[in-house]
Amino acid sequence: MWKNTKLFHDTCRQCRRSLFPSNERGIQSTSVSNRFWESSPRGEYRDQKKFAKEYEKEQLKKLWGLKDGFRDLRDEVFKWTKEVKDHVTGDDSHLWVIHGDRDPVWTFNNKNTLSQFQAFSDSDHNEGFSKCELVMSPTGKGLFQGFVNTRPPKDGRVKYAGYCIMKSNDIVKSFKRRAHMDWSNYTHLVMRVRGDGRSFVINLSVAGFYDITWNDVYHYVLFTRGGPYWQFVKIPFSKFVMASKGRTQDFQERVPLTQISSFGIAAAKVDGPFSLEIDYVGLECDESFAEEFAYEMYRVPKYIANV
Amino acid sequence: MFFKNYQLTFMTTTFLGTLMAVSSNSWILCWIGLEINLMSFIPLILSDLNFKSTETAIKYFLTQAVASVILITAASFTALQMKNYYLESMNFFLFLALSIKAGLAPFHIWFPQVTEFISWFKCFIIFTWQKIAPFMLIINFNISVFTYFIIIMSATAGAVGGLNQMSSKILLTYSSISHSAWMLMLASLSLKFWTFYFLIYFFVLSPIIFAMNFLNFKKIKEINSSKINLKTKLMLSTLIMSLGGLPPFLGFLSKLIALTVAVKTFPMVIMITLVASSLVSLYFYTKMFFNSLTASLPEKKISSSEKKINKFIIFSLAGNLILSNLVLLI
Repeated sequence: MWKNTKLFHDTCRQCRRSLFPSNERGIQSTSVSNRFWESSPRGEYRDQKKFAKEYEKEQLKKLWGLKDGFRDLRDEVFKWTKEVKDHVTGDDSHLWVIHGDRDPVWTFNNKNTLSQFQAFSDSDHNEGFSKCELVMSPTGKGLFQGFVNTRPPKDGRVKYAGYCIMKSNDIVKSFKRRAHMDWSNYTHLVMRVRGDGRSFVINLSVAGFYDITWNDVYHYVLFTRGGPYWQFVKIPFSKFVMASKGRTQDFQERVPLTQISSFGIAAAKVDGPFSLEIDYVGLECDESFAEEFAYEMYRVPKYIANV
Repeated sequence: MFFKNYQLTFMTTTFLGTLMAVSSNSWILCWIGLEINLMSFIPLILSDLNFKSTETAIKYFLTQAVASVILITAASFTALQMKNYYLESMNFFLFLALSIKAGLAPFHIWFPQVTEFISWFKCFIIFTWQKIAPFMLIINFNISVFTYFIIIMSATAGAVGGLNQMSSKILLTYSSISHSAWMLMLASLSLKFWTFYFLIYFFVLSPIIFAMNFLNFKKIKEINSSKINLKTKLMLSTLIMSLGGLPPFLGFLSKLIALTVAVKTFPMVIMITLVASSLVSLYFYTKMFFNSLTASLPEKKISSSEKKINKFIIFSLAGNLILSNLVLLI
């Protein structure tokens, strides 16, 4: 495509320069990205990458890294043999999910489940002042609580701030391979939650091996009622919307349920405290629900939006 | 009607590439034919227009390109010694490259990752047509320890990999890997035997894939669901049993003849491994339709769309039953 050529980007840069002389700030406030290549899954800034590279070089100098490598190799081979054994002799009940089956994936009644999640906010990345934590509530359920602060830090880099996320840990197979959860036998995501009336965003990450898929996340807004009563939420997978780095994509598709790499809940945008008590997160198979995808996919002209 | 113009163009060049590869007597022309085949198949994968098609195309391209590099490098080194690029000059690395191209174990990891996100028709091309060129070139090679290794690995990987699979495409992929082990064994013996096995595999697989595409089955449990009529379920089940090599169907005939001709040449270990892997494969084929034959589900009337595919399936089923018995009588 000509949009990815150097000529296109040079032309755009010249147009911007002609519209905005160098002594005036332009409308555009973020730096121009001349490539779609992502250098890091964490989306690091350039100066952070420099430090990361220097750290890596120092680590490689150390000879004991070789011994660690052999020990890791032995551990990884053990993990791999265990995986093959589980694959051959394991339970295949997940193949026979029928209409009406409701299976919990995470039940937040013990600390083991909490350890499968991590809670972080913009302050952990020096991008804001929000705070959050995932703890056990007094009723023995999971409690995601914190404070969203939308004030950006004065570092000249961050324009907008204010997010708190709880996210399930990535599943890693033997030899450090990323694995995915296969939810394709189910049609709905079910949760029993007790919120504070605030809206949260449910995120299903489908990050793959290649960098073009690292930021693919499917979102759906969870509206909580607040109040003392528990809320049962049943969200069809057909309603999830795909976005990349928070930007909703033009070309939409149903969430690929065989490629779920993590599940997360986010609180953002509105200043103030939040709390979400979670009993369980599960999946339901409802064969009477025939919708494939909720959003009408109109045809776009050629050479636009991934067509 | 079914295919767009650009898809027809690329399918034509895909077929031409394979024909070029099998018709040449020089490794250079074989390599060119395989490259044309590869380059033409990539746009067909991308034409599916889903988010995963790019990743699938990259995986397919990288694997096949690496195999092509190994092939042309090995052919060139062999040509330095033999002073020609003729197909008679054989080399371990040439065999390795062709094994990667065909998706034989232990070089099969890319195969299910590619087939999972492409359409049923492209799956059918990968399972059948894309194997023609590599296997017809493998026919030139002598039997060696590496051949035994690949046969055992493919049979084992195909059998073990298909267990506990939810997706019907991935299950058929591992079934294809398992069948490739049998095809490799026959290809090492003679072109005639390999062609016989391949044609039967093609004939047995095509109605299954046609039905899966038409009925839009993505999971193995969908055959058991009440969405289709019992007659369609029974016919599909019979075809799957034929693919699994159960007598008296055509699939069994191909395996019987393979065993009969190969038992004099190949060691008993290979025979036992192939038969055992067939048994394991039969287990996961049976899982696909077992519940539909045993559980009592509300029966649905045959829809008009099902009537259309039922005619095709009946024709294939008749062929499966009649042909096998005819050949046995002869």
